[in-house]
Amino acid sequence: MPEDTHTTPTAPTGANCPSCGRFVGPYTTCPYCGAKLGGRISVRAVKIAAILLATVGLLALWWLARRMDIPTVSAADALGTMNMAYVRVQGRVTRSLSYDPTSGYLAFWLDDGTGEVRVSSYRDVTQALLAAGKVPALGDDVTVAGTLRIREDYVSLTLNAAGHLTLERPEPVTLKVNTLTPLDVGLRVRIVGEVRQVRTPYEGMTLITVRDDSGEIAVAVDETVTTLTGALPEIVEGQGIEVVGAVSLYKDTPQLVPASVADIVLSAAPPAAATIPVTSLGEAQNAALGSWMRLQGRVVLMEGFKGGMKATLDDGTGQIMLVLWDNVYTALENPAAVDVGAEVVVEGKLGSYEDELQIVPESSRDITIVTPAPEIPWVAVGDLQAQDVGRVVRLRGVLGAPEGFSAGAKAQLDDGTGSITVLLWTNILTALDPPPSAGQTVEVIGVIQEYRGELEILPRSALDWRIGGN
Amino acid sequence: MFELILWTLAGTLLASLLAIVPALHIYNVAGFILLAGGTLSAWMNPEQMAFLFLGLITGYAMLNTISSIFLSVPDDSTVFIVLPGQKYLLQRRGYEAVVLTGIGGLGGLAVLALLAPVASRILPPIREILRPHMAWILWTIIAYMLLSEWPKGTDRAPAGWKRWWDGWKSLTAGLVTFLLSGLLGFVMMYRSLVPTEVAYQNLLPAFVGLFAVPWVLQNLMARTELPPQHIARTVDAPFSAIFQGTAAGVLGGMFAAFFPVITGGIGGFLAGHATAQRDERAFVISQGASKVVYYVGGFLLFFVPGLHLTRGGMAWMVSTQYSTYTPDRYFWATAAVLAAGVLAFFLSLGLTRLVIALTARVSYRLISFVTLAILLVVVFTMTGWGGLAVCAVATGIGLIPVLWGSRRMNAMGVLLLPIALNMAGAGDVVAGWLGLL
Repeated sequence: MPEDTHTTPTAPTGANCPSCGRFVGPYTTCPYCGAKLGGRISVRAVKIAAILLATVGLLALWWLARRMDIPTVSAADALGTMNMAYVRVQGRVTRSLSYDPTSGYLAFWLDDGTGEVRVSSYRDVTQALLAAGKVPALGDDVTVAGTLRIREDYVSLTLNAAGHLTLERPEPVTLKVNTLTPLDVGLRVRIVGEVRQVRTPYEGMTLITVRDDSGEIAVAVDETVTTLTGALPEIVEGQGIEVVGAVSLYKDTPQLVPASVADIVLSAAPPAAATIPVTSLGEAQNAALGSWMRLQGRVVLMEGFKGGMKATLDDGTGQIMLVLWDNVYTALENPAAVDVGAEVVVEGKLGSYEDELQIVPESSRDITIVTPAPEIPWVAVGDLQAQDVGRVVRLRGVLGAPEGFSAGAKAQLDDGTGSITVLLWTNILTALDPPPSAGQTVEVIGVIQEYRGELEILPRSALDWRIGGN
Repeated sequence: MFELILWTLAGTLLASLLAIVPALHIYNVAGFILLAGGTLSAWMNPEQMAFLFLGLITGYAMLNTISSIFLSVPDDSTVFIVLPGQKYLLQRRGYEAVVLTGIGGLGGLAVLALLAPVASRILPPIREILRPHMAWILWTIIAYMLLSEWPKGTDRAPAGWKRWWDGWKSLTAGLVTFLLSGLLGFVMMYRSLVPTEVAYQNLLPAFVGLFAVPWVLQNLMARTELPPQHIARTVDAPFSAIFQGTAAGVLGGMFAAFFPVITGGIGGFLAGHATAQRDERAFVISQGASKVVYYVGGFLLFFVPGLHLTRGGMAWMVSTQYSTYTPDRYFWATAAVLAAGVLAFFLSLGLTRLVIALTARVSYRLISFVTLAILLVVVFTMTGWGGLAVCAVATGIGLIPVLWGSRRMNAMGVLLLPIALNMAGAGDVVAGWLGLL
């Protein structure tokens, strides 16, 4: 293929000897005619200059650099053109840490009042932080210097040296639970109370519900805290607990986040400070709904309902309904001890149902039986009369064939002195094991009622039913 | 979507025109655009800017060979093209050298396009596999880089220390360059004299001083004479050389693009050694492919869905304004890069003729002076007196390999030493010894 032979002219040059015109390149003296070539730079001089620049210049730069302060910037002032700057930021840790033990990656968010900066460190620096006990936690005031990274939607800073992080953990303020509001986010507080509940909503998160005499709050311990500071001790409901942690929000509700597992101190029983004083039933009538109360009274009426039992308490100043959900009632050490005539102290949340004031305990531990109910008297069926309606009695007899109806089943009970209808509502019927059948000898406790001129007995719960009574 | 392609092509045109301005790195141009971001926001949104930058980097990667070969003003990724480029120049084949690197660049782009359908599937796991091994791989590369340089003595020096020095001066110069540039890197990383407000150009004065200024000073000292250049219609490159060069270049470029701190120059160097190229044509082609894959491929990684990898100055600049997560944006970015690459290749032919005409009419010494002036103006405008001071010191370090005949790549210690020490967990210890913490 033919080629274009276009060429460009020789470039003007100073590489030729001005005396003889021959090419001399970098020589300072023409090797052909011996002419001294002016205007040339001595390579030796350049070498000396290069060494001086590289060494003395570098020393000077180093000296200057050591005397320079690391500039402090705010999150709001961090611009895209500041990417990769080595800067300092100061603020308070406002979100829980994230930590990957495999890679050693640690990250947390710092709020300096103008915005948030995500601070992160990698394996070696994280290990140095751990060794120095300088792992920040929610609520800590932190000053950190590192390489700024400006992202499209957030600002981050990479910590390159553990020594460039200083943290100040504010002294906690001892407060009551009900004084905490969303405005307290980041505040470090101390709460003293009782462990009400321990649960794991998802893997890696433990929620401890703590109650003091003013209310209850969740203490959130995530796996980052346990990985960094150690495993949680065994926590049992009813234990006393003292927690120091920073306030954070879960769906606008305050919760506590401890910096370390060591910030959770357990005791066998709740401290006295967390014990709620007993309120009279008369005073309870005027208390705010939803408040947690401690009441004492005698059971004057005990009825069953779908889902549990309800007892009417009376202390002489007033009456209140005690609602015992099945899970609470059946968890009582001796459920039969809570019956008509029993004296109980109960803690629970004050509520109202169909304009009737009620107290609802959360667990069986909220109920203390001061005086057990007297044993329900044995009665012969033949002795029951119309004036016994409303009375709680105990019967024993042989069961006839049960007959179902829309809301349960009925069966005749015969004790040799007479026969009475036993009415089992569906919620009780389904809880009986084995189910009632003809020929069973059973012991039944229940309330006597009259239906269409006939007496019948209504067990209030499955616990009022016992096979094989003698 | 086609609008984004147009933005990319506009970027390519701009980069192509600017590529003949000696010593003007495209990162500086992008930096100026970023600085003017507030003003330009009325004209283009962040996505359009990202595609404009895609065009800029593609155009630059294809055309920066021209200034590297004809004006000997390389950056860290084209440092290996200068010497073979000058050899071609002295053989009156500078135009051919540009075409060869362009072919390599096109080959590199073709491989990037072929990788596009599988990149999002294979790159994230590769990254996860490599992540825990980065530190020792980097130290291995440093060790190889330093140990693979051999004594260059003449064997004519008198016995004793003089003979030792004759053989070892280049090696000593290499080690000194690496250490001094590494110390400079520590200063730049922890207490830079570059103002915080323009920290995104923190390394600009160091790189200009380490790589560009020494070449220009060398040109001024050597009074280089350019022979008339021949504009060839054919290229002396058999298919085997093109294939071998492209494969080696892609290998090195991809390694450099994917691996932190490793630049196109180091990638090309490793690829060259790994494939043991003896054919100079293949070497020139490989350098073209390597720098295109390094610059363009590195930036394209930013678009790969699920990878979350920011490599190279351009990606870091764009990441402050824009992020993308969808495959369609990645495919469009790849298509845009292909279009930009083809456009840049054809532009390189015309622009090379222009530069040849320019160097024929204007004194090479004058061009060198102008180049030096541009370099200093860019450094000063961007980074102020502090940057100029850093540039001066870096120039001193960058002159050591020039004057004592060692590899200029040793100046990459400015990045390699501090980052490798950081990865090994000793960066803060050394910074503490230096009193920089």
